[in-house]
Amino acid sequence: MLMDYSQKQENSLFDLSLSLAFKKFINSLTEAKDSKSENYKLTIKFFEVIIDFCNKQFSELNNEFSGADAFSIFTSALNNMDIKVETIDDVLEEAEKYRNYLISFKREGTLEPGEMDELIKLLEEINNQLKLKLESNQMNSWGY
Amino acid sequence: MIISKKEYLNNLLDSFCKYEEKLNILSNKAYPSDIVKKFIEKDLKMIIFEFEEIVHKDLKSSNDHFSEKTVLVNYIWDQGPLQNIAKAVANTDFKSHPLEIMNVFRDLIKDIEKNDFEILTIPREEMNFSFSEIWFKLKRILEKELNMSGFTVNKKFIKLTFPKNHKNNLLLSGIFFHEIGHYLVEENNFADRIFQNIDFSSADFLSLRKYIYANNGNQLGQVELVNIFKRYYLINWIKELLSDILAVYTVGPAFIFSMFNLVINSTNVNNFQNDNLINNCSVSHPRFSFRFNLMSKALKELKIYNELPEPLRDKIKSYQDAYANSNNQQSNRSGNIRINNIYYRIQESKFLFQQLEKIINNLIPDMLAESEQLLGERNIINKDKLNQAEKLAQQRIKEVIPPNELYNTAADPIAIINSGWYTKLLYKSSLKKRVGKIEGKNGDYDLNLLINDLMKYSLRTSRIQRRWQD
Repeated sequence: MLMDYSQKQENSLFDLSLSLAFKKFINSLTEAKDSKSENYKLTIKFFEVIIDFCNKQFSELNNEFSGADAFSIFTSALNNMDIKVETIDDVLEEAEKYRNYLISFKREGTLEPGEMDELIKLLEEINNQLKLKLESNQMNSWGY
Repeated sequence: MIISKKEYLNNLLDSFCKYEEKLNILSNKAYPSDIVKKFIEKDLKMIIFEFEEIVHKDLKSSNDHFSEKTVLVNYIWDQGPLQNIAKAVANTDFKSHPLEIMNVFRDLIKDIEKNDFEILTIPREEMNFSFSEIWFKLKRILEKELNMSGFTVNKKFIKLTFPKNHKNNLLLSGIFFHEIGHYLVEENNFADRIFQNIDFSSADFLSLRKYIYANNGNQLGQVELVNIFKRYYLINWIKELLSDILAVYTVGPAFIFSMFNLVINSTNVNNFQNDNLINNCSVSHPRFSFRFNLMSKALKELKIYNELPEPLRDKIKSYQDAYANSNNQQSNRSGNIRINNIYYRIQESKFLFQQLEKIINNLIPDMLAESEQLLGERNIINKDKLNQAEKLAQQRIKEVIPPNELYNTAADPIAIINSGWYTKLLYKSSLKKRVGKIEGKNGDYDLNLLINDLMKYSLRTSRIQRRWQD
């Protein structure tokens, strides 16, 4: 029936936590040194839950942020980078590409310059989307 | 900059000091549980001291920029979880605690979640029920991002609000089970799990693009549709329907009768008389006819629908029919939403809603199966509990005896809650005759009061009795 939406507000605390992890990970990438493993783990997990979502397997970052949430943030970030993704298969392809970048980075400690720029730009866009999500306070209007 | 960093931080400190004062006042109050007092005096005070410390440090720094910690503290403060906790604590008290029903919820949640928790009950003037966790997420971020430790309360704090006037109305308690359903759905990310089972490549799903116009003029793609319905309509409907299923699975027909009672009380008399019951879909809720159908389907799934006495089955059928045959027409409305800086216009119509219902219908088997799994067999209503409810009504409440036991065995709390409705719907006139004086100007008010008193007493004593038996 009627529901108190205060819980939603507290859920956004995880968005903040995720955004901070991305920020720290971007710093590590930019300074070309290994990230703290928890930030790396959370960043790679972010792409894995998207891949799971596309493959119709349910997974989540924690019980507040699911593959569908990550999918939504990721596709918005891609859109801002003018990367056109229309179908779920397109998204899967992109998510796998970035996941592979992260794995290579972890293994080799560096990436090709083009790949590194691409990855940093995407992570920054994701972080922007998370910030937008944090800031948006039901800005949608309903004109009945 | 309009104001200096120093001014900004001083304002922030001012808010923290006011909060601290509020905590001092709150720590002098009496609470239903000692843990609440400890929570205020230790944990909340520790947090606000730490926040003050961070801001003080930043005030002393010569850097023009705010420190990372200040930004974080400021963000958390703006989001309001601390204020939300203080507000909940301030509004909870001894007198308003509906102890009997609270124990039923406590046992239920404990069994499902296996976690320790505290319930803060908050009476409200308005007809509103809600159930949400208010502490754990904050605690997690404070530990992770601000390295805070040493919290004394390591359990969930669940805020439960309920209409003040219905504190003792156990006949309406079925609604609480729907709200607990919302809580379980949120805590387990249950709705997303179901949402993911939608076939996003199906013609049914892709046809939804007919009702949505992107203001940038582009044809909508599959990805955009997923993102829209992950936030509007489908996801919300899934949450409502899951909460309905969880309520039916735990408390059975008592939820359906409570819900109908609540809905009918808020129906305008003209609409009521003219078979014009409001049966509209909205961005947040599916229509009542769909919900009542699902509820009866859930009862059938549990194989208890046919076990109900005929008048009760007829009653449930009459609710379904009343809404299914309502003359009230869904109006064609349109609304704007914004996702990812693109504005979309959604044209609502009965065709859109029929399409959404078709998609949801395909998810119902998963919703039923996963609800069963989440609750576990022990917490799901069954034939035995309903048979007990019927006997409690017939042999106890009808004779003005509290329904706390049957054949010297403590009654099941779910059976007790249902027995109230069984009595009201099956034995109303016999009970009135038995009591004699309940006749006249107050209508059913005195009768409801009597049933509620008997139920309340029984929930309390049967719990004690169960402990002895165990």
